Amino acid sequence: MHFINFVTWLNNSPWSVWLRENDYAFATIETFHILGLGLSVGTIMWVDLRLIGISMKRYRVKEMVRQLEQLALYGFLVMFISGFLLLCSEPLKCYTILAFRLKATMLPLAGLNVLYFHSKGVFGTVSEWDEATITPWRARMVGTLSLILWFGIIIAGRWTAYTS
Amino acid sequence: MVFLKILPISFFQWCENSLVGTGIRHSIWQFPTIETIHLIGLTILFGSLMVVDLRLLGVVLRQHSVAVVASDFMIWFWTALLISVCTGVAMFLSEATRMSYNSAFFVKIVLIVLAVTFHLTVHRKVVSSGATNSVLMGKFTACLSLLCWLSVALAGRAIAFVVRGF
Repeated sequence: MHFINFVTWLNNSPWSVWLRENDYAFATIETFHILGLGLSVGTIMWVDLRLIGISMKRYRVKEMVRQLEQLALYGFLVMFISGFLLLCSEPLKCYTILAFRLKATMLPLAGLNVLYFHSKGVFGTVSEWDEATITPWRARMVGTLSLILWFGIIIAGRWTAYTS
Repeated sequence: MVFLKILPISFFQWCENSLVGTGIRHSIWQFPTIETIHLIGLTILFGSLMVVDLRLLGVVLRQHSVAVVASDFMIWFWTALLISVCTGVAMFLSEATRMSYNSAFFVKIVLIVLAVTFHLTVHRKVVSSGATNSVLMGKFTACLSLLCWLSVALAGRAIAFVVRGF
């Protein structure tokens, strides 16, 4: 069976139709999706700015990562669950359009970026540059990629909503 | 409640027929682009507000004083608010008559005025005087501030879903 057959089947399934056509369901899920976005990107961006060295240089890297990353994770969970439901409400549209394909590419990349950051070679050596204004190039790269990917995901997400 | 009961319809028509309003309405990409910038603006706005309020609540960045954290995030907050207001005004101009009878829009504007007033008065005083406040006062202010801005966001989201006003 081709993937498109599965997508079409899902698109025609009663609960997908219900999610799509029930005004309250869609509006509620979308609201949670945006709140999750505010909580996750709104917290992780300060860590990124600290890593790049643009702002927040007063704070220790470890302090920012430990405290803000956890909040970002909660936000991400809300965003992921609500996003999954939004995807289930319009699977065929999401499968077809470019904006969502880009979003679906950027998301795993953002995840890999976080995993890479927490590897031995980057965050593992944080004690050496915890208070440094200029962080190692790997950390700066992670911060830059994170900002680009997350704001790219926001743009692609909005673009998905507007494409019909 | 809707704005049409306070302001004449001619005002909204004038807004909608303004250069900016007409320009956005006649373009397929301008409105989505402006809304995306609006969303990015409010992500930064909420992000900066949240960190300061969570500091007041004693959840994050406890090694630094409230006043220091607040002053670090202030520039981001006001810049983000400016971006959100500018893009918000542009979106309003493009569909002013529709907004004139949208009750969620009315509620949102009232809440923004309340939230900004609260931010400039109580919130500002509490974060700048730092240690002289009671912890409880700080926590109360933080909760109220988060609640205010959260209501703004919810009312904003409702604009798209409310078809008519009451």
